[in-house]
Amino acid sequence: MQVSTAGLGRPESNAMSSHPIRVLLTKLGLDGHDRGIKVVATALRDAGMEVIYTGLWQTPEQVAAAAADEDVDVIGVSILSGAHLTLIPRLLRLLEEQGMSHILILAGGIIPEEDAAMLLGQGVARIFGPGTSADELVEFVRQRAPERSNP
Amino acid sequence: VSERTPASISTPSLAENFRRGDRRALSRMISLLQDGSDPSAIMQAVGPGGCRALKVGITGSAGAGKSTLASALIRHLRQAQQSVAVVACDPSSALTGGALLGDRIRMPQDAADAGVFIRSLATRGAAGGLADSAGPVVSLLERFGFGNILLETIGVGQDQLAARSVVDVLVLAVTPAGGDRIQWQKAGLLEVADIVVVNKADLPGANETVASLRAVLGLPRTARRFAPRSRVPVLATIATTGQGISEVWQAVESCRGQE
Repeated sequence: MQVSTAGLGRPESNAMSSHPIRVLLTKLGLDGHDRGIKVVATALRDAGMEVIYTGLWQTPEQVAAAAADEDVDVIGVSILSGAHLTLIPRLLRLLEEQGMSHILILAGGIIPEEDAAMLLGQGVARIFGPGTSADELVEFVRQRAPERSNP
Repeated sequence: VSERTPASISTPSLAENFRRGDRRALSRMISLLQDGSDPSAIMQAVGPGGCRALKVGITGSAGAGKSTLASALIRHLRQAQQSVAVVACDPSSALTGGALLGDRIRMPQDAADAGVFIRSLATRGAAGGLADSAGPVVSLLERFGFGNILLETIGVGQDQLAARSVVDVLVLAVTPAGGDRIQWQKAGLLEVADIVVVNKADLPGANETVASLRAVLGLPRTARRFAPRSRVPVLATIATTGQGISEVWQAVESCRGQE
């Protein structure tokens, strides 16, 4: 099937021979609220990114292993269970131990301001709470995703 | 900690790490193949590897249960203490180039198990049901030392046959009540499959579907150019429970025996 993409505004950076931004989206911990992350997945997909969704009930260890095998540029963690101060720092530590501290880490969900400050201090790049617009999210990921220059 | 900024990695040091068994080097090299690097240069850099993998394609329409079958086969192989890598393709948007790669949802990762590697590939405009890099990626995984490689296509209709030339054994997954006998007699996937699996066999119509497929596959054939098997088994599975999975793997292994 050949579909012409002329005039549809496909960004140059997503031409076939280059590297689309790869994003791992995950629900960390015992939390079944996945409406928000599915909206985010669609927004990033529509922005030309490759979105890998792990599904629910992931441990930090599983997310680090998936990020390694998938060689992602960005990890988006959604937590609405209140366990963010336990699970996100554990994920950050695993990523650092395994040499993946270049990955851009984003968090979303219900995260109180004082907790947010703590997570941002530990290496989360940004926290997107309820009411975030898709454009704001896409723009942030485009600007901050780590550069790749392949040999 | 991380001197491993992506920009600073060169192919020679990657290849060295690859040969030492570093999964991250494998993973980055798959990205290089996906992003358009020359496969022959990468294969030359990593060398031939030591063993020959059993390469199994899983194809079929969207929602037939390909990822769930792969997941069940992973469990089966790990119980037999065999290593397995999965390459799971999903389509890129023709409009934006974006993709939602969702096959992992059906394949829960055991973080402590180094015997399983799972990688999602977007097709990035390729036709045929696979990413263009899928063949080289499978070859890279074989050189890394995985004994079994499962290659899952995107959901395909009738004539997307790219997996045929990449794998040793091609499994076609269908679901019950997918059409009458004439549908199965049309040219396409059924001509090139080595094994047909009727998944979701707990749904109504499963026995009839198995019977139709067996009848059609039993018709005399003169064109054996693509499917060299003398007999194509039709097996019923319920991948979510694991029912029928060991029979599928037995069939896969006996197909390899006929090569």
